Amino acid sequence: MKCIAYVSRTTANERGINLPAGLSNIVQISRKRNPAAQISGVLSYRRGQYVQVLEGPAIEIDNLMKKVLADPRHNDIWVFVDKKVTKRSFDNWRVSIFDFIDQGPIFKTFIEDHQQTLDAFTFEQKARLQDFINLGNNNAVATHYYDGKYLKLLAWPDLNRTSQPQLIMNLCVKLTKNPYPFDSLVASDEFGTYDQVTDIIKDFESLGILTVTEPAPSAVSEPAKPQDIPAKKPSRFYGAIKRFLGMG
Amino acid sequence: MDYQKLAIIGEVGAGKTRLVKTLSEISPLETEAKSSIDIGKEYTTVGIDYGRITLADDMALGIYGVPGQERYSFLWEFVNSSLWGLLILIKYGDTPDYNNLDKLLTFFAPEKNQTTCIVGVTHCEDADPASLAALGQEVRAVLMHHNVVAPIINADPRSRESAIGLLQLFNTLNNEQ
Repeated sequence: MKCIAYVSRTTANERGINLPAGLSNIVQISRKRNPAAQISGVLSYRRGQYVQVLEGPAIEIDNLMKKVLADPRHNDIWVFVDKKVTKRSFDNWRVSIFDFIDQGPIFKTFIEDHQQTLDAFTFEQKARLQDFINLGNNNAVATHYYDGKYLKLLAWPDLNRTSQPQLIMNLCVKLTKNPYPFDSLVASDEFGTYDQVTDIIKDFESLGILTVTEPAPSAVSEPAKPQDIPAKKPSRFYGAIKRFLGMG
Repeated sequence: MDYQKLAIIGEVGAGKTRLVKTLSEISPLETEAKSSIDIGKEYTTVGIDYGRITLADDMALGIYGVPGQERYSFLWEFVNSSLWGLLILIKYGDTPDYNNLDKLLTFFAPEKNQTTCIVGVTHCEDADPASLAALGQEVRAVLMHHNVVAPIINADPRSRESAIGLLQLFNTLNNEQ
């Protein structure tokens, strides 16, 4: 049995934009074919790169890698693990998908199994993997790191994969249009305790979907309080729609 | 007259016509015609589906279902003013035309125009969770490229509850502006 792990860059489209076009297609095909080939693994996409780990019978893995190498959706492929293994890191004969794979509990086994290989990489090599695997850099968020800071989403998280979709949705609404004070999120009591809000925000940041900024200079002397969020006068249209929806 | 528009844009079969019907209080002016090519269904929209929600004597929300293909971009022009919201429908199971989505976002430029944008993924009631997550990641990458911060929501155009949920989310997001 062998294990191969690689990173590749997506192909730029006609306007020069790197999109993971084909990701859902790869997942669909993998989930159909991999059980029969006894291939298990994980697939992820972030910021213009795919990472995939494949493990299974050597002949199946080699055949699959030949296809990957010939697939125009993958550029600049770097196989960073290619070795015989005696046991699997992933117990599912299918390809799972994660936003940030080293946070997936099943990926921890892979990291542990290949720690020596991963530790030996150069700074540049580690940098290429950094979006997927945190190789030794302690990025733990200091206690109270978000206090006084402003938060804005770069993208919404996947609401299908959160345990509290309505709460996350309500929170995301606050962070969608403009930078929003962390302190106000906590003070609203709408999203749980200080620690619970911090954990949600940490998750967003680790997914790469959040920007954290310092308050504007004028606001530094007086940290944002809930009442600092301008109580906007709702537009007439807003009220009318609300009434139409039976919420007014 | 305070008249604003909700533009519902998507590829063939994404559910635009159905959603306009579900949302509209009036019988929508339908513009379906028998398709001359095999697109998996007998009728397809060749123009705009129109519906309307009257909110007051002098206030209404117009609902416009518009084809997502670039060749219909003259219809995009038609709806691209007084936009209350831009709803992009994507059908689960079909690989979306990302180049087209890219052009659509370039045209409507929701970030620049401060237009509230939501992506609704349809036909996903029985979706494989991993494939649905992969589709979401693809769409998210395109949105992020255009600096569009938009929720990607499972939507069922046949369901009034789902349709109303979308309207609520648009309204709440608009109020945050």
